[in-house]
Amino acid sequence: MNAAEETKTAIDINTSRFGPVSYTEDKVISFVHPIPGFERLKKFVLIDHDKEGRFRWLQSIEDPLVAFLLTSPNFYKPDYSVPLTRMQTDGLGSKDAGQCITLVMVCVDQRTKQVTLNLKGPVMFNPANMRAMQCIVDREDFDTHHVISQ
Amino acid sequence: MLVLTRKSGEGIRIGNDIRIVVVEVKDNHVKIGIDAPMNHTVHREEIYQKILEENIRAAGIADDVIKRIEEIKKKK
Repeated sequence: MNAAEETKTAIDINTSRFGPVSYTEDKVISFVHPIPGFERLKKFVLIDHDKEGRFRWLQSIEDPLVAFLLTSPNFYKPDYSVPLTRMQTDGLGSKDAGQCITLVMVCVDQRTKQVTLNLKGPVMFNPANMRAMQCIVDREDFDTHHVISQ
Repeated sequence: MLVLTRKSGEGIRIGNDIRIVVVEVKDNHVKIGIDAPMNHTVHREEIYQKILEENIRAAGIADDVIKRIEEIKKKK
């Protein structure tokens, strides 16, 4: 089997949220730094939640129970941009932040059903090399609970 | 936890490649300088904890609340 064929071989995992999910090796996103709270997990795949691609699931392929709901923050906050440090762009293997896709985690409060975005911990993703990291932005105006619904 | 006493300008070395220096001590504030290789991320503890808690909360998002997302999309 050559390398090209290898990356196209479908791998199946049985996730708790979506049931069986099939992916190929070339779709696997590698986190260059562990996600706080999920240090063991480095490999994920993105699964579209809707046809428009507004919401996407970041599903762990190492733990079928773990998935995060992500969205593009600029749809809700047009002026939002992540100030990446040199260390972060180097880690992502990108020359500048423009090469990377910015996604943020979505949370729905169990009790209030309020939908919030975590603007302080964006997930930066470089599609050119499939590397990603959760950046922690040390800024007061970047809220962990940015409300997009009441 | 290992506790060391240091004066302003003095440092601590962790392993071969992490250096922590007490830059300034003033009243109740301590300025700390950190030299660490790229594979180590450095954060203020409380911000790291906040992100960690939020990540755990985000991973626990229940299937029945997904319909809230659909409602939001309709509004926009």
